[in-house]
Amino acid sequence: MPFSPTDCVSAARGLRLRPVPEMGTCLAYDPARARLHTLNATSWLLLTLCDGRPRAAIAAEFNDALRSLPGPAPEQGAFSRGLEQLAALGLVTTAANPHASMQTRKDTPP
Amino acid sequence: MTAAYANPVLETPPKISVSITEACPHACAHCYSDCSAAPKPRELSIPAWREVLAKLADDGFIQVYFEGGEPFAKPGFLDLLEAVAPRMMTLVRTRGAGLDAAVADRLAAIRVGRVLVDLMGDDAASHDATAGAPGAFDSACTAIEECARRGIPVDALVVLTRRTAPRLNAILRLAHRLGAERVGILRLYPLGRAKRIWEEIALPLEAQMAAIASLDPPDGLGVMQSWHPRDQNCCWQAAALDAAGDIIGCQYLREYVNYGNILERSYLDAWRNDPLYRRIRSGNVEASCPDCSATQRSHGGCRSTAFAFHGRWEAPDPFDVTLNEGVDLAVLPDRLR
Repeated sequence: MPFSPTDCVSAARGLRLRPVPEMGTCLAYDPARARLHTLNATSWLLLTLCDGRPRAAIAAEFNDALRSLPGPAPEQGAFSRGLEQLAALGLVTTAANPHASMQTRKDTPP
Repeated sequence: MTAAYANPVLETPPKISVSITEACPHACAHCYSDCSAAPKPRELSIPAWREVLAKLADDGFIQVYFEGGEPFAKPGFLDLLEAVAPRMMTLVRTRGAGLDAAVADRLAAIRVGRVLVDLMGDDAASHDATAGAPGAFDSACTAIEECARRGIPVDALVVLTRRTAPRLNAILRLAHRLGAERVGILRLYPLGRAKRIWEEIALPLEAQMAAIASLDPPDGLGVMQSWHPRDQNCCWQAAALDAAGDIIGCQYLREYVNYGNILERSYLDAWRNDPLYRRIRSGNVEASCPDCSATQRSHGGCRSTAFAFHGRWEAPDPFDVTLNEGVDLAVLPDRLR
């Protein structure tokens, strides 16, 4: 699924998250698709960051959060792969950034 | 001396099983709830269940597995399901009675998460003989087909007995043909009416293991079973209510425990504070199968069958070949007769 860095990414409407911190997981119930997913800690973090901000802003906070954890540095492309997986499950939706669109229009010659 | 085994620990449980009714139009020979056509007097009403389930969702439950009795035989059950589905993943176990095309349409609209249909044979003669109801086989097959046709995930369930063992592979093929994604093969529990015909239908463990080893599912059909090395002690995550709202931890513990009624005590209070509930979940058992604990991350196997055959909560599960200790599973302990 193609993404633009200016796209805004949100958790799917109606999604209910149920953290299970004892297991290091979070259950995500998607009533529209009647599916219950078990997310690992990385996917759980990423989904909670998808609050309608532009993709680039989510990526920055996601990578900062992973770098702050002990252990090896996050793998290259972890954010993109994680977001694609969440999108494939229908757990996130993307929308064009209205501010980015206005900028484009302003820059376009009449 | 008891070894120091421990199960995973959940602060609060996310999933629950609810026996919504103990009424059923069938008369299954091994019915664990000893169901009859009429509901039992203490059974909670649909409005009461609505309140209970809303509170459970508030308390962090995110999945509810409805069973019975026959859930579709309880008037108002579909309305209840519709009220619950926006907040909790819903699964429904049924014998198929009443699950026709119109009900399947409603289930699809409600967005039920999964339907699980019991098969007791691979043809009308074998299925209906155990179900005690002519037409039961046709109902079960229709239920699977109508759900599958609408894209509702559907599984078939089979209890392993002397009656079903010779037919297991035929049942797998039937379920696949009807559109089931998976078949769950379940052990027979000494509960309800099953106790009265135990010697007639229960298999020795060796015969159970042979039946499981002989499984030959068609391509694309999943098979779920919990014999060695997959014998799980799932009590650590188990939550259940019976039709009267009694807190029983697991449907298979229905004759052994009662942690209070949900109208008088919150589920989380029982989970956190009932000493027996905490003890059963702990996994601090007398013996643990290393193979099963490696695959299931829990110890000792099923607590219901361990308690049934030994009378001790920490006893080994005799359905596990490494923990059986010479117990003949085809013979019911005198205590349970």
